[in-house]
Amino acid sequence: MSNRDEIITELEPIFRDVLDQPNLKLTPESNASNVEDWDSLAHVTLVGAVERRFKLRFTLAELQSLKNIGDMASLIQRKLAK
Amino acid sequence: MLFSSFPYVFVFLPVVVLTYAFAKSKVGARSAQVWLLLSSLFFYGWAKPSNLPFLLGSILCNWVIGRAIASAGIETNRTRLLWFGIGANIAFLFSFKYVNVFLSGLAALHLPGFVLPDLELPLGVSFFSLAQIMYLVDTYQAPETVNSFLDHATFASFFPYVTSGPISRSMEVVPQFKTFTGETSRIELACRGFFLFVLGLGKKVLLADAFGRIADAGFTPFSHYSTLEAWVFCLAYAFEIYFDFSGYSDMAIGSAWMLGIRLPINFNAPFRSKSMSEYWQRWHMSLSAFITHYLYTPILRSMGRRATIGKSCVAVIVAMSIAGLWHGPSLTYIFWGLINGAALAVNQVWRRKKKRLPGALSWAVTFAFVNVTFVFFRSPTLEFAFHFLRQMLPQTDLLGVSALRGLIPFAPNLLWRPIIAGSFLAFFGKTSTELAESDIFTPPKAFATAVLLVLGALCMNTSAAKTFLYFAF
Repeated sequence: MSNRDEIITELEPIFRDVLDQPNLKLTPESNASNVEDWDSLAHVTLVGAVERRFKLRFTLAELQSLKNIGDMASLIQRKLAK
Repeated sequence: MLFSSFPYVFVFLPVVVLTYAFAKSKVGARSAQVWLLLSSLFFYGWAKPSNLPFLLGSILCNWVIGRAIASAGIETNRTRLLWFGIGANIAFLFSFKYVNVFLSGLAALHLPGFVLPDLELPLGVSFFSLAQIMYLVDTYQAPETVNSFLDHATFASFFPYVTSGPISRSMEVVPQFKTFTGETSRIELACRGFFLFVLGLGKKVLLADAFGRIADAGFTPFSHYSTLEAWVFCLAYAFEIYFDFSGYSDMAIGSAWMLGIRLPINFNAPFRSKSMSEYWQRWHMSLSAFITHYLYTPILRSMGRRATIGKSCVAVIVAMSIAGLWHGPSLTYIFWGLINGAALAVNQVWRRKKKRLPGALSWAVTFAFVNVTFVFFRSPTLEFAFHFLRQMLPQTDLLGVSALRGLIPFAPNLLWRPIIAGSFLAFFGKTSTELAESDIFTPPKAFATAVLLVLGALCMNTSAAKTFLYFAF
């Protein structure tokens, strides 16, 4: 099972591809307000891409509770552990 | 009971806050919560006790459906129950908002023996119905968050937001009835809440109502204005609704802070936005969060796992049109939602082109467009709205002021001071929430709070004080 930092490393190429920012660096604190072009469409696209990569499905309530990349990585970690 | 009224400010709020604090520290959290529930029901029934059964019925039904969703073992049953619950809330809301329109049409046919029933809109039905839908969706997806009856009744009827929001989630509010989780002490949060409440009161009775007098004079049928006048009246309405609703929200959030409960903020200086997307992240934020999470995202995700710009444009236009319809059974509201959705779609396409306008120009375009949307929001009919918009375009009478002259001699101090103060506050300086979060424990701020409270109390006592605009929804 991946730990949170490894998951963030795996998320980075997905975010770079969707947001079209080849040099994007993700940290646990990265969120829609401090990452350029992360709008509602990009968010849904990112969620779809992450779901495909990790073969899981987020619920609306889970998506709404995410405040930053750290939260997303922790959620993925929990879902993978089930 | 209006937030900006003597019974609320000087009797209801102090009695509820002090008794709640006493009960919580000396008797227990559960007893304090029962007090809060009874206070909220008293607040809701104050103006029209006959509305109470609708709120209580909504609480009971949604609590029962929520329990059924959480305890149903089979996924298909859970899904059916969720859709039944969502459908029931929408039917409940629509029966008040739209059946009257349909029945009025029937009454116009003069059918023999047909009597038009009284389906007057219960206060806050649009807001608490959305909160109930959010609760059911959250319970479906996280059954462990299901409420006890006391928790659900206290959450749904909570007096700071029951009439006009901020639209809040059960899972964020209910835990705060049990334990205080703030970074500051409860007393400090209560002081900040009082400060925020007084700022909101000032926004409402000193600013919004003054702008409202100008807007009311301008949005009258068969009016003919110069371009300048049409813009002045339109801007007056934009400032009126901003200070009215953000003032209301400050008072709601401030009241909740006084009880040690944090609510989502609703406004963050929206008129400073440089795009429509940014505007909707700053205007009526609890509604736009609902639209994003419970309308736009599910609509877009239902179109397939791969989201595209085309699908997103369709989803945002549909979601905003539904939001327009939520405001009322009028073509003007639907058109308001439609043009906001279209603007957000254009904004998304523009962002992907990676072309940026200069900051001042993008602000000017955004603010001008927001004003256009408000013309639809304020106008009684689409025909009136288009007539008004034509007058906002350059025309032969560009700078005439004959209609404005009729307003100027009328209590000029009552109008000019709020206009200057309001125009500054909307565009510059800290927002009321930022001010309330900053260092408020200084003699100048204490003095300013006292002055604002006295001024607010004086204006509450005048005939100029109006009810909150969003009470109509």
